[in-house]
Amino acid sequence: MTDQEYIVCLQFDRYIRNALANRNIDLIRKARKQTENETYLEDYSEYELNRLLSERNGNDRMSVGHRLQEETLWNQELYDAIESLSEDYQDPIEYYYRYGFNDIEIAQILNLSRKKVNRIRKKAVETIRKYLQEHRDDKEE
Amino acid sequence: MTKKNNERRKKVVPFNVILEAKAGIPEAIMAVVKHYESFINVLAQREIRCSDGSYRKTVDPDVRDELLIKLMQAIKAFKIYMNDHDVDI
Repeated sequence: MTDQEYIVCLQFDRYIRNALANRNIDLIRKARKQTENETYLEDYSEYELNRLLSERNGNDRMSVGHRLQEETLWNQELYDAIESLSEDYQDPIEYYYRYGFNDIEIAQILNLSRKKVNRIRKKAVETIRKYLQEHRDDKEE
Repeated sequence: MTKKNNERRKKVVPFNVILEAKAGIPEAIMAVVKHYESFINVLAQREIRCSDGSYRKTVDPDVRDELLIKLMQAIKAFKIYMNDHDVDI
């Protein structure tokens, strides 16, 4: 290997090491940004966990079990509400919220226009909201 | 070039291997990857939290893969200048 070739090899070595080190710094920064707002579940005491889980209800004394039960019940209500819709309304809702398709994809699947899908979806959500409201009012009475 | 001079030199990837790797020959690329494997493993070390709350240093496979991709890109992007002009493969 001539001297000139050796110099090229050294340049190559430095270039590769610099590129890798810089990429590594980028990855570290990215990871740090991601973990900045994360906390571990083990860091919380049981009291804190319960409080966090029941925060949305404004009830400090609710246990995790209670909270889960309430969540399941609420899901059941939601399920009933969706069941009460007609089939034309159910499909877009299911595709959108369960499978994560967007309006254009749903329009292609159901052979409708995008506008129509959007309108159906909004109307269905409105109907579900009304159903839940009425259901809750009945319960409270 | 004397023997003594050769011994003093740093261990680098041979010139012809660099040229072949730049041209995209798999064996040459593998040779370059092997040369930088230990360096990548050192860079890719991350602290991982164990279940008992302590921290342990291990090689993060995702980071290692990212660095390997970067290595491939860098091999391709490296430009060789000899006698003040670009040597293009």
